[in-house]
Amino acid sequence: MPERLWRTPLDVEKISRPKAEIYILKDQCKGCGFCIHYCPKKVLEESDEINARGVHPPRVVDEKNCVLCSFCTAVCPDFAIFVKEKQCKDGC
Amino acid sequence: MMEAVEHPLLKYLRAAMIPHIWCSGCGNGIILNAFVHALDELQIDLNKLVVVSGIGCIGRAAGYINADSFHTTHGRPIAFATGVKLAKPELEVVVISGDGDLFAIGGNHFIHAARRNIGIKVICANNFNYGMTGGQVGPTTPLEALTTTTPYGNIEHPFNLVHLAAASGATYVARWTTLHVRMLTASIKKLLQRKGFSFIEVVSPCPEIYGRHNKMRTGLEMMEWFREASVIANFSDPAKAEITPEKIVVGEFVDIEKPTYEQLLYEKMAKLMKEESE
Amino acid sequence: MSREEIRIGVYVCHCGLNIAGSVDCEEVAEFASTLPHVVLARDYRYTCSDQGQELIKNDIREYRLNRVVVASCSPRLHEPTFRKACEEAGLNKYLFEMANIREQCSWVHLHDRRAATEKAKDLVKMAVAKAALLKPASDIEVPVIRKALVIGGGVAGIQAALDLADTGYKVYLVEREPSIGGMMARLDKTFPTMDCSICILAPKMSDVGRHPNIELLTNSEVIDVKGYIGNFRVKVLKKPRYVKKDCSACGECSKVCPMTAPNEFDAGLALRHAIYTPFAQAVPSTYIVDMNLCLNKDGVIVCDRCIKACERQAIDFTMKPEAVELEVGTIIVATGADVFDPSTLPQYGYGKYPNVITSLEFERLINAGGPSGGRLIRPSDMKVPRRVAFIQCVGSRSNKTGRTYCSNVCCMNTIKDSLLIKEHWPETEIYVFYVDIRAYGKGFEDLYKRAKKEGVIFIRGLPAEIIEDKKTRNLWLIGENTLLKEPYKMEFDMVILSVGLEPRKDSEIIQRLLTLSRTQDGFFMEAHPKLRPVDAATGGIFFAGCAESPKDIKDSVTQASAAAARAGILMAKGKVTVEAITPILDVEKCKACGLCAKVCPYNAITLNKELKRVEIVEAACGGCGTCAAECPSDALTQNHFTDEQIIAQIDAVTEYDADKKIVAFCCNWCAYAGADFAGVSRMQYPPSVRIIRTMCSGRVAPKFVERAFARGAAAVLVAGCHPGDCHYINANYHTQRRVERLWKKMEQNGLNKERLQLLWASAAEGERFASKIYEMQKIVESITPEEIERAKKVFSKAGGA
Repeated sequence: MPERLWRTPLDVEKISRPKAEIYILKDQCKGCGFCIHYCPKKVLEESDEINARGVHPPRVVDEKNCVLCSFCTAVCPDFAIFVKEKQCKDGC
Repeated sequence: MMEAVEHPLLKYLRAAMIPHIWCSGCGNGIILNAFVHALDELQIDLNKLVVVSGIGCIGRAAGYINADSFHTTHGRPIAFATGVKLAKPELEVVVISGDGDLFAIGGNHFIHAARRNIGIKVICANNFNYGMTGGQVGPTTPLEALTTTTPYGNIEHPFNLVHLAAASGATYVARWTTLHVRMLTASIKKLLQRKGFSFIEVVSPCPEIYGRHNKMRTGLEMMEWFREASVIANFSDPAKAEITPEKIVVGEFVDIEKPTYEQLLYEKMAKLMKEESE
Repeated sequence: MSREEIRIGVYVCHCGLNIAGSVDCEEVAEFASTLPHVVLARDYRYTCSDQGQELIKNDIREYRLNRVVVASCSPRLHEPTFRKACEEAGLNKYLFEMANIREQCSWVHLHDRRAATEKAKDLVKMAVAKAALLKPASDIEVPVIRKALVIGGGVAGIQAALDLADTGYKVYLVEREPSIGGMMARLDKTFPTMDCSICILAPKMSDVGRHPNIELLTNSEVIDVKGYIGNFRVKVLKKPRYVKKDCSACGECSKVCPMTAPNEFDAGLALRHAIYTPFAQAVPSTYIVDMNLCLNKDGVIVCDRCIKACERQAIDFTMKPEAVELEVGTIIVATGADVFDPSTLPQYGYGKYPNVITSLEFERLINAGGPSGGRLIRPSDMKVPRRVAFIQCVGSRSNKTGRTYCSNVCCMNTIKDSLLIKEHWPETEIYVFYVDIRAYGKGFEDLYKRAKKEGVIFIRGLPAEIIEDKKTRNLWLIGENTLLKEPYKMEFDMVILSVGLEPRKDSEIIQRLLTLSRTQDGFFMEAHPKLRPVDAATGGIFFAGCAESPKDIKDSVTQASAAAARAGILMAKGKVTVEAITPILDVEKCKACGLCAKVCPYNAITLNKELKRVEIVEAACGGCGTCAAECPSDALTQNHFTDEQIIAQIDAVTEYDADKKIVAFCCNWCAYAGADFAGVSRMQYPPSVRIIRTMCSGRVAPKFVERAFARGAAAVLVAGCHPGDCHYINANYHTQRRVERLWKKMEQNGLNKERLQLLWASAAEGERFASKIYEMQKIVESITPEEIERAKKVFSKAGGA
């Protein structure tokens, strides 16, 4: 079915995507870069600031793109980054 | 992006010891992370968990996990773990140690524990050298690799750890790299839920020492080597699964059931005592 | 062949007065007895009768005849009859030759007895010359594998597979999408019965999934086809689903998958996840991962939510594509059609105005299982429209959009759709803008009447333009009502474009793999539009459904059963006979240039570079002879139409009065049949032409034409099928090429190239053939002796002699 799919799907509001909150423990980060490199949605990038260890911790580019795959949480050797699902009370 | 919230898995770690002292990009941190993820997913009772480690950077793992743990002398975690398991078979005993500790000086303990099917679980962080002491050649260092004691290239063939474990009689054998965190976590969960001698080899980056000596200066470069070279092949022949620069076969190799040593021991004791009382 | 004495028997038939009325048959028989190798020549009243055949049989035995020539009607009529008679008398059927002195002589020269008789003598002389060189041969029997392949899992493919499987044959059904069902699974209701489409299709889909004789290969594509009728070796690539057969289709994985994308099945009107099932009734029901959407596409498993959610542990990201090789005897092509994309028509605003939708989007909206739960809503504000318009013939019947044909189903589809709307929302006004309403089938007219009764208004005149009201997003249609002859400008809430069907955009791939032809419209070409509507020209391959032309479900199912029956004939017989008119290779002369392999329409010749020769698969050979004509080293010739035999015929014609004769080479299927048709219709034309029959015009090697001119022929005609209609797919393309080269050579040597004519004439174009002969007669009459000599010189040098 190679048809052109150009419409906004009708249920785009109904099918909820998990909304994420990304927490970075900046001074715990050792700058290995795994979370930045392997994030499938490229949500993270190396920041310009230098932390207490002398390395550049990651910073969030656009939190809205995060889909809560939690790979960063699983792969960080230093427990310096984790994501949590945003608990929305009246829609986010 | 707040900082007042604590890491959800912190309760499995000894908070005072965190952050750990391992290098940037060290695989030990990932192994620890995968381990506590598995503990959390299974909701393991930390009072029933014993972690034993040996000498090496990975040896500090026993100190970081918030459970009863012991940091033994070089090569002896399996011996200690055997004692714990036989004294209190209801405890979950996990050995987390390195390639040199478990397979060089501790090699004999390993093969006999596997042969006897003692119900301890062994997670080996294989970083291809003796990292903590400066990067000397070890039993898993690849041929022609550069280490501080093989500056002209290693002339020894390395062990194929999964083959060794399977041949010794381990009932669960798996190999993953630190890139395959999801599968590693799933394997550790399996490990924690089964009986019998179970072994996971984790191919782990040591960027500061092994990586730096062998043209992979950062953890990311080593992880990319894992990505390019690894091939997931479940239940393939462990004898053919040597690690080469081009190919790292990962997956589960063995998953069988055999009566465990402690089970047989206690059954025999119970039988003898019953006969004696009659 | 041993130096056995050639003993030819010639029979000149009177055919009542059909031949005897304009040809002196006794004279011809007497003349025949003077020809070399002829030991017996008779004339007889009705040679094809039982007595006539008995006579031939007795003569064969009594006179030890080892070749037989019958001069009577067209070989296209009675060659099989006489061949059988020869066989019954113990003579190999390929030692028989016919001279056509009825359709191509007596019937077309009714008023010139002398000329007709002389021509008949010439024709007999040609036949005797060829007969002397005939060699015995046996037909090749090729076994047919009793397994079938059906390409395409729409309703046509499903029906064909079920019919063949129920007959008892093993069927492989290969479908590109993850599930079978095709277009029909996406429709809501079907005309004219208003059945729920998926409800009637799903039981068939289940049957396919469960049938012990059907092996279903979904998410798979055919990537290579080798072989020939009865013996195809097909390579199929099974693309990985990343989900094992253990999947119970519980859907827990989809629920936790974080990635979403527009669902192709719902025409993009609803979302699906990276792990999904195409639709609820999918067969097989196993889920599938869209790896382009899944987060794990870069070779790292970053997200394992679905793996954790699956109770059966059925998800496996390590699956790899698998190529399998299937051996089948027949193939049914049921690849379906694509839907026209109206974005290319800017005047309708599709793609810009949200409330202009296609008929396919309409089906999904009104389907109870669709993205809006069966509520027909305007995409702009989700409200039910109160006034809708249908525009017909979008992308069909138009020179401008490039699709000139009628798409068959759109009129009835619109009528059905309008009744559906009226059923649910009786207040909604419906207008249908049409050019013609085609309601030709059973029950169609009744449905049309019902629609009109329900108040659907039909306006004859497509809108020229649609303009959108930016605030309300309503649409203004502007056009002319051609029946009332007045313009209209009407406002609608929603417009539905009744889009047509077009050939699959990648049908070229299947065409190349199976050596099929396509018509000008781009759909696959059947062997004969009336008498072999489901056969492809290539043996062993059949068509079903919209792959061959746009059609509705009933016709697709009918055609599928027909294709299954045709395939069943081959497989029931278990063997197929290949006529012994295949190529003969002289290995010594072969220089391994590979030109023959390039021109073979059936890929029956392969170049073996190591052995420095070509290899011929006789069973795949169609018998056109193009390879023999192409060979520059004289290494190839065609059995029963050898170079020597054809040259012998040319020499026989041109022995006397060559400068008054036209030597014509006609292909068996079109030109020769066209000449026969001229005879049947009693069209008269000058008696100067002498026809040499080949199976295909591609057999005509340049050296034959050169030989004719070198022997002093006045003119030469090469005649074959129209380009695109060649019985051997495309062999006549090479005829064109060769004739053009000959023309160039004639021009370069100062010869009148009008002496060589090329004619494309079908079997129905007797008139065309006759007029051509008239045209060429003028050339024959105007030629000077000097010209004849010059041509002789030019072409004798070229080795024509």
